[in-house]
Amino acid sequence: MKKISLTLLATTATTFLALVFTQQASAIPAFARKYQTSCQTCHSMPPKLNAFGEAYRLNGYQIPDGDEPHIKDTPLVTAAPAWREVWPKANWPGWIPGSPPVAIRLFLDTETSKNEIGDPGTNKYTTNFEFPHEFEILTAGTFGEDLGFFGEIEWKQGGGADIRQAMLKFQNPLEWAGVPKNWLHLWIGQMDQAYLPSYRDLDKPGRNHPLWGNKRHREFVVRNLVTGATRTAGNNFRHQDRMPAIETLGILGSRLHWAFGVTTGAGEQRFERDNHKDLYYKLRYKFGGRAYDGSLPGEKDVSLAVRPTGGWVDNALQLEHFGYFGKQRISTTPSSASRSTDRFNRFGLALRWTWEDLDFASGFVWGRHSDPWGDLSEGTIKYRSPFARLDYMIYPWWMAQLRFEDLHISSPRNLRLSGFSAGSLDQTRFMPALIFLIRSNLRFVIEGELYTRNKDAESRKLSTPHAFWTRFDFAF
Amino acid sequence: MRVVTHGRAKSGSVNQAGLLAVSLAFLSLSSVAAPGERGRTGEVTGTVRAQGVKKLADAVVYIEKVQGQFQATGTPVAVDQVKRTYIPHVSAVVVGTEIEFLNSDNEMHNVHARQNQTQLFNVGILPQRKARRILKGEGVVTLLCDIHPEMSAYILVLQNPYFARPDEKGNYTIGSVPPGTYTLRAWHEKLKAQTMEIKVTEGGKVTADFELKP
Repeated sequence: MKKISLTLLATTATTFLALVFTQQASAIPAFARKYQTSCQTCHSMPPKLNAFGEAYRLNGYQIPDGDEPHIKDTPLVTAAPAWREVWPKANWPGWIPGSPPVAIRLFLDTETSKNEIGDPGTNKYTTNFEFPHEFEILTAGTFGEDLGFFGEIEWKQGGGADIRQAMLKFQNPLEWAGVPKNWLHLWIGQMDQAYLPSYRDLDKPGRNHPLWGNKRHREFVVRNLVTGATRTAGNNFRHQDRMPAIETLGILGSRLHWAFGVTTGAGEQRFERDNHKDLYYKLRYKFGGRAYDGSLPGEKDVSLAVRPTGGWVDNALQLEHFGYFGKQRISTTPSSASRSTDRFNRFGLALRWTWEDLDFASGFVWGRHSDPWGDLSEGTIKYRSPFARLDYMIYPWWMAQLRFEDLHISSPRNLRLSGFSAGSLDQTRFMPALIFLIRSNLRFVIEGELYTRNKDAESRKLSTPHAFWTRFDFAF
Repeated sequence: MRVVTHGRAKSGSVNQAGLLAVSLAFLSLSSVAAPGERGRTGEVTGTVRAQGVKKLADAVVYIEKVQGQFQATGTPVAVDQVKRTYIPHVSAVVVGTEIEFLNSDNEMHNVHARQNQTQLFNVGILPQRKARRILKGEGVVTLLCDIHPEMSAYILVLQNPYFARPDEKGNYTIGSVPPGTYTLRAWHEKLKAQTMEIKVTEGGKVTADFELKP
């Protein structure tokens, strides 16, 4: 253990010092460049959004009370606004960003663990450098009033390039028909559905994904402990995957955010194996603080200036709920002749309480699968995952975080495979983290992944897969 | 820099070409017979706040209807086209004013003018040439260029010369207004127009502030 600690300490210290003495990055990402403003205008601890950033996102990447006065990077007008009068005999007015709205993001990670990349069962920690862990090209902006876009191309070490997000945001498409502003937007593309905004991937200042969103049922394995042979279920749905979707959403009365969407539910697969479409909805209400439409009681104009009290301060309580209804035609691996359809659902309930430097979120995700194992078993299985997170801003550049996550998936009944027994994904973990903002666009994370329960490792008589991570995340 | 309305110097900021335009407007209006004589008129002043727009000077504040006939003189008001931009972007004139459309660019432009959803005229202007048109009807005239869709401008054709454009801070003043009760309107191309009832008295000063919203 002493040797491990020294390795970890040396790695961390070396990379930390190297970055501290590195010159500040001279470039800034697309939105900051557009408005010539700080990252902290929209982020409390990048990529975690503050209340203003969330209002900006919901408003289709436009400053809620009027975008134009804040834009410093003059866009190229493709048709003057006055052409509206001539439509449909002329193109609808619009613009394209003045500078190419492109940003680069890089992750440099280290992982210290026993099992995942180390020597399984040797009870030794090994440290691995993932330099880089991931490289992203991000693009985002507006094509005129009420039309936003977002794109993300990701290249992962050993995983190749992939389009993670590509979406258009049609804001207020029915305002012409008398639908009040902000009541209805239409987002189309491959997107982050962000089911529980209190605990979602895009707000993750630490390194690891939330457990409830990260695990897919396919990872649930039945194993023959004598031969080592395994069978896996076929449903590859996972909440954190960006999926092709058509989402309608809106803000009612400035504080009720609703959304209803239809998605392929195919996870990371580009094409479905069937024609099933999944449905989801989400609702959240905010008491106090800056409303979802950007308005703030007592504030007449929206200012981009970061407040002296800290851009993260937003004294408010949010209640959230989501539902997801999926159907997936599955096969087991190795493949069997019979196919079945697994109907599954998820529901989530959460609250988020932000007060001065504190940000506390807690909730519960539950659901069931009707037939995830096909001919290998019968009956439904249940899924539940409670979670909690506490963020505390020590300084504007230093955040402490503690996460608690638990996952339970019930075992399949009547396993029709002699000699096989069901494994388990059940686990409980605590994740302490320290996050430092070395520069406005450079984040350093130290995160621990400490299990109090890990059934999979226990059943396979492996060491508990505690892990320690560091991450440099920078964007320009 | 000051904007002139109805022969009186008023607060408001314009660029050089805009100054040319309003100066011509001044000349064209200098012979207009004002209903009230000097010393027997009032003043309307105030501030325009416009949510979500950069240029407050592109707003126009004007009195909708004033008793009497107001006629523009034959001196035209200039609207130039420079570097694919109409200058000024917003003008206000009295009905019947002749507009001289200049093309200071070294490329072809056309002035596609529309009013009340219909085309007023569409005239091509060769480089360094000009064309004149009289605006005979009240209302907002939109100027476009079919060759360069990014170009646009507005001319407010008004019944009377009692109008002003705010300065960069949104302050405006309309002077020499005859006593009476009027509807004051604030207009901006991107925002909803607002109206306000005002009562102008002899030698009095009326304050009317607007907050325009999308």
